[in-house]
Amino acid sequence: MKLFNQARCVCFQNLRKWRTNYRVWVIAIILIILTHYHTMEIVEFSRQIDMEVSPWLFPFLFSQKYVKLLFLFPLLLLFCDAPFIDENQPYVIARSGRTAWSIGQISYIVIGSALYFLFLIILTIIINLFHMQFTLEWGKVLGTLANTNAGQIAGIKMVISRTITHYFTPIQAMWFAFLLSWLAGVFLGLLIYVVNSLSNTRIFGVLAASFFLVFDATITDYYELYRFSPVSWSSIDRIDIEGLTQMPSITYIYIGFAVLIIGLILSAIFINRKQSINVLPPI
Amino acid sequence: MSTKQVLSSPVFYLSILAVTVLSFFSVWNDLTETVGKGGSVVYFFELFLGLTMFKKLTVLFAALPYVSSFCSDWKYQYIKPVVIRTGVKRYTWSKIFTCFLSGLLTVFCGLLLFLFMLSLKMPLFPTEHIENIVGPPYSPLIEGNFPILYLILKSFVFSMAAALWAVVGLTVSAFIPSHFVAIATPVIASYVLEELTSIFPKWLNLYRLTRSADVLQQGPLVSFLYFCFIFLLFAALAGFLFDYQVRRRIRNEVV
Repeated sequence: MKLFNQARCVCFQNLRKWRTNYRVWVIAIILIILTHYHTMEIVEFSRQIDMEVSPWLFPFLFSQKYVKLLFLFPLLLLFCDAPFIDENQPYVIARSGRTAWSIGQISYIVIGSALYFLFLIILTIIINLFHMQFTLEWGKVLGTLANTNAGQIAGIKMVISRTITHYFTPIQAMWFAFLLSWLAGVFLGLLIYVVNSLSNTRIFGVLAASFFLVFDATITDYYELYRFSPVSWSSIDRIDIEGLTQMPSITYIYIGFAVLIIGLILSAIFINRKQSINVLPPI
Repeated sequence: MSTKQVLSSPVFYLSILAVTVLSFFSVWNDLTETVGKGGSVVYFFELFLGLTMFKKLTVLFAALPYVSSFCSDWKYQYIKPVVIRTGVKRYTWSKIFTCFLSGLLTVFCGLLLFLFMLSLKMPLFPTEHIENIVGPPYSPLIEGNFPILYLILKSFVFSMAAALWAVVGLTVSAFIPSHFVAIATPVIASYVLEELTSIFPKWLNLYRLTRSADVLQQGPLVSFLYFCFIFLLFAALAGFLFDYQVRRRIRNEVV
């Protein structure tokens, strides 16, 4: 119990630093801009047809080709200084011990990633609040865009996938989109953490995570390759629901994420026990 | 000295290459779909300028070579020996000039490289229905002796805008001396100010000016000079703000 209390303190100390960290504020502004840019066409379309849009835009946010790259890159920037060893950390390690410190840093990645995607969900709602109708259905605007070619005619770049509106209710889609994005975020954060800890630098972790981001962008439409790209698993329109495509099933995705994340957590704890503590200047 | 510093830096040349790669990346989908089915350089160039969010990232590369230089000068206090020898005014305006020049050259050279590489595979302009792709103020240039001027002037104006945002990044770095803030500010400022100025008259709308829209209806030369004037004016305004804040910092007025 003491171990987890110490880990909790390490984790929350990192989160408290967000308030005074310019990097976090810049990332928040970048996310606001990206969300505004990628949802404004839908809102403009809803204005043109004089109907309000439902608040369930998040599951479609990464649907356009290469856009996931833009939305996940700020997440890499958030975790790019992993394993988060600033001037204060040697004292924290001395008080908590390496294992508790390590669990605390890993918990920080898990919670930070969840907050990142929750913030994105809130943004998709708040930015377009004045043109929104609160309903538990997909609504006429998203329904029209999913089932007709109105989006193409209106030149809307965001793809409202019929697969999502057909197989999922809005709440289900929001939950699964959040869950899978969160797991992908945790995977990327832990990857940066482990690689940076191993190499004692800040660059190789970001490069490794960037590789997976770019890999996801380059294999779009190559269904058979989605199985090897954990970042692709965060899109719910890339799940094989009825067993008719070469895309991975939800069971495969859950097992895949579980194996990768548990493997990375164990490696992180093991590496941290032997790691030399080098304080690097803040980014 | 500052200009030599930039021109001898590998980051400057890597940023030029990054702009070219980004340009290709942003139109790659359409490029692969139209291979062997026609297509022209001007079509892909207009596609890059008009449709994608990736063009905003060119500003990031414009910022990379020099925008965070003041942060380094301040953080490691290199500023002191330089200011003692040259004075504050020369120091600040050399920073502003170099920042503007490096931003301009990075994007302009990157785009020229992109256009050159495209031109190896396809014609510069389509043979028919060109009016669907190009428009005023530069469209009369296509009928003149040097049609390539259309692409060059449009790239230059786009690069001037990127250079302006680089100077804005430098200015903000004087207020918040953080490398990360300095490099991210041009992207944020370009988006926010382009959105904000969309409520202004079209001759002050930065989004339209960046894309060389026909806001004056005065022909190519006057329009080009006007675009350059506006971007230089805004860069100078940002420069004055930078100068003011650096003076305050040197006088220890900033905690």
